[in-house]
Amino acid sequence: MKGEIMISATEMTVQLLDGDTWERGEIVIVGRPVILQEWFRKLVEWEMHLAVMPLSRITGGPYDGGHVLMAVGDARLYFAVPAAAIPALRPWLSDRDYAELLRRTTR
Amino acid sequence: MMPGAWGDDRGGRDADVSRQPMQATEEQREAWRALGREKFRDSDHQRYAQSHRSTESLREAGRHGYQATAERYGRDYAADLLARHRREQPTRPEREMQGLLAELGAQEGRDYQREHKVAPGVYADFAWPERKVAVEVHGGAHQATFFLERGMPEREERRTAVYEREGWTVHVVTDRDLREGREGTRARMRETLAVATGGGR
Repeated sequence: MKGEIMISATEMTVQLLDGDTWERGEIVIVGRPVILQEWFRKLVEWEMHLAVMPLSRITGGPYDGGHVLMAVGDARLYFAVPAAAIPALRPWLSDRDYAELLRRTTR
Repeated sequence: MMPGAWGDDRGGRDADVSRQPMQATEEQREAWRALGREKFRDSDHQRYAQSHRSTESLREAGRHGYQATAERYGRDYAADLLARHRREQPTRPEREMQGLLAELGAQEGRDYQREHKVAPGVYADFAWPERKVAVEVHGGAHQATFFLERGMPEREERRTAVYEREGWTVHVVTDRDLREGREGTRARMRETLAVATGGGR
């Protein structure tokens, strides 16, 4: 890739957020960062699916340019996901959500 | 995989997000021009902008994120957007509660509201606004040690305090109540419905 740094999926991490705080528009990290593949395994284990919210983009901080995604199952959890991880989310999202996420991410 | 609800600009029952485009007077427009970007902090302009929102403006909101949307349209508007999305993405326990209420003859929209705003930043899972009765459905996260150690009980106390301050009665139903004590929960909900609907059921 010309001029782009490729980060492998084993290095990318997502971060669980405090749900109450996110619903008021602030990002407060909960717990430790989780490697992407581990996160996917947990989502399967917890029988959760991912959804793209009307508001998702993160500006500033370590996840700048990434998105907050909602995982829904027995509960609703919110995760900060780096922009570089979006291609790996393709199997997890509807075509519409995935296209929207790409559109929001493109600068 | 459940399809996403992105871009769906259905109006629904968001009482705080007017569906009727507001008209601005020339004086107002002049005042807003003079304010520049500060107009986004003006409550009249926020209401005006909200009323003219479109699917495209919602898409742009997502593009720019929560903070930018809150700045432009007001924090309540941004919170309402997320609440509407939560309504379209119920958790499994919430779906079970919907099913239980349906068995008791209560229908969403007609008899009760979901994600109803009780106060800024606080939305009831299930609500009967006329009688100020709410049901909060607590899923697995509420009982998980991980969240219990990270302030979940304190957050729930704060929410309960808001309900009380606003004059609401709130009933908590847990995931376990729905899975293992369904008959008892059904009886509780029947009583709750009787109160919430004025004894009509």
